[in-house]
Amino acid sequence: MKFQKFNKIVQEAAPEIKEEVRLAMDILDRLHELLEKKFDGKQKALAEKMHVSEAVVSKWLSGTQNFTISTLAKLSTAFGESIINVSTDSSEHSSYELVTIPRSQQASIITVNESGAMQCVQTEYRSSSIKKTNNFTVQEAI
Amino acid sequence: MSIKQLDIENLRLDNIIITNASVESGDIQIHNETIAGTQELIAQFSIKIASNVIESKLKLTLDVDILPKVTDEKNTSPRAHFEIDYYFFVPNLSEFIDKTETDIFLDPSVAATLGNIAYSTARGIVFTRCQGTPLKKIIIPILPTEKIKSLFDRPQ
Repeated sequence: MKFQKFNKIVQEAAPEIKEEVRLAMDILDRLHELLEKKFDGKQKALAEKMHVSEAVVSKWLSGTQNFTISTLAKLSTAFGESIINVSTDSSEHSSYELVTIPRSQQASIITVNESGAMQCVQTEYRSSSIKKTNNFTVQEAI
Repeated sequence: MSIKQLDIENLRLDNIIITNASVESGDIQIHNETIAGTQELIAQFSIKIASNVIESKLKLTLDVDILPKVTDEKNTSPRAHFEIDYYFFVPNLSEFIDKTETDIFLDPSVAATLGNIAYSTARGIVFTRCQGTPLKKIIIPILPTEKIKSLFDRPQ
């Protein structure tokens, strides 16, 4: 009887309410997953990292918190991974940090005969000088 | 040997942007009736990688050059230059990034996987873009994974 009432309430809920609950539960799942992975499930460790009280963290993990973008950003930074991903076409506008590559250039010598047959006769590393810019290294082949 | 395994099932190539593609015809053609003998060309590539750990994204830029091995002053051989940006979503990227005070290093196995995907795709892009040019028969050579991986191995 109670379940019938519950199911009826769920069915009659407005679509935006259903979506809100789904989003809240997804965020909650993600928070618990990251807490387990990064802090061995210890709320205290996360609280210390974020300089907030354990009570605040406990409230966040209760599933009733309506997170602001600012709080989600702070949580993402504390975990070192994003909490939510928004699908956009703006990957190229994200902020990137340069990765160091010990030897980033390679060359192959190809011979092509009259019939168009190709053969790769040699593959080698090339000397290059590396200088850093804001986002990327600039390779200058010697 | 890396302990962490790349979650290859959830690896995503979000976008490919060809930022530069130029083919110069030069004065001589390869394999036309007037030129006999063997041509020697150099196909060289370089890789740049930048990371966004928070968003688990990597940007890989591949430069590919096809150049004549010997430059003739009288005749200029055809040459090509391509610059292609690849945008990857790498699950658990933070586990494969090693930050020191001055540098950021990417796990060689992950870098090789992405480098392989980028290089293989570039072979198709270069071949397609060179159709209708003197370099129409050129396919940049296959490279073994180990060769690509060795680019990223940190010096001991």
